[in-house]
Amino acid sequence: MVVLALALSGCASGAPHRVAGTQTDAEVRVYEVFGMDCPGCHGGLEKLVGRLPGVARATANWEAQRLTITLAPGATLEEDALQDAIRRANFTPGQRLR
Amino acid sequence: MLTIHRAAPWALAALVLASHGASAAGISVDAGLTPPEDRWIIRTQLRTMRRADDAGSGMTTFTVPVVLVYGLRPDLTVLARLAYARRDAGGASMNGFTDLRLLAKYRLLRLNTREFTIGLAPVLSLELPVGQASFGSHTWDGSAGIFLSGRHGPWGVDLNLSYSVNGLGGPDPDGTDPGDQLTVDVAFARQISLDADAAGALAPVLELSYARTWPDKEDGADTPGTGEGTVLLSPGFKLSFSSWFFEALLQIPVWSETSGTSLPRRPGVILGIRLLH
Repeated sequence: MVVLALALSGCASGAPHRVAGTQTDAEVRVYEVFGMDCPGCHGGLEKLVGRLPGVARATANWEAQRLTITLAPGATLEEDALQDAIRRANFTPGQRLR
Repeated sequence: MLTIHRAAPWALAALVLASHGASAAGISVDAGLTPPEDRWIIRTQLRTMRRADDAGSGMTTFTVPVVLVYGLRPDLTVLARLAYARRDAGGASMNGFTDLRLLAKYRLLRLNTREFTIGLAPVLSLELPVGQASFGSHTWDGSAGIFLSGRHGPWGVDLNLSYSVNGLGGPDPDGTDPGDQLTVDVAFARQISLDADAAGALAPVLELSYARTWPDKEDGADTPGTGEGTVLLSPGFKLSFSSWFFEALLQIPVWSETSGTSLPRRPGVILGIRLLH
């Protein structure tokens, strides 16, 4: 119960979402991205974002207007660099959702 | 007597000035949107075009264009297109390469919001007279166009307006001054996701295309049997994934105005794939 309460309080405070159960926890972030209109848009965005230092994986969803980024363990990601990559893909960054 | 339409090279050029962008709503209509920086797209198709009289006598042209697209910058896309064609007419066949077309598309406007996307892009192209036999124009040709796109949720519309000046450097070696061409195209599409992750989508497409080719001139006079106007209504579909597309389009002539003994167009088909990296 104590562990559960601590986990819930971590989520409520806006702490980074981590994939539990992995050997080293990986931070997952989710952003709004506007301008994608079909699956063909995914690859170009994922390619540019995936090159950013610290990004282990980037997955786009045109219909949900979402970009999900998994960082490498212990890595950081500059928000400015991410927004620049999204714009170079000809899309527009929205809010960070997670 | 069968008349090979003098405007054939221009018609082929219009055929293969096809949509290249991954985000185009249409298949033969391009988007006013530019692909991401460093995005590669390779596209090839099998296109059929038939001209025949009411008795069914005529000619069939098969064209396989290959288009290479690269997002040089977010606001600048460059393209190169070359096609191989074969024409069967009167029991005889001829084949060869078309002219090489080089294009550049510039992102003049791109507005992405949660509700909609709008794009406006001018396009310039130059066609090099390297084509073989009657598939090449033997002249340097240029075109300018403006492409407009709108997206709202799964719905998309593209509008293309292009004007081609054929024979930039004057008449061809035979002394023929080729006629210019105007094209106006519009495409509508609706994306339908195939799975919860939106990794695949099927899009029904409907296009409406108008092309006007002015008559060729020789010694200042219109060349008989050249010049035409055509309206095509084209239903089709696209199956798209992150790194490849498959597309099919049926082009149905719903209106045509031909000159002299020129043969009217009959329905044609486009089948194609795109690879994206």
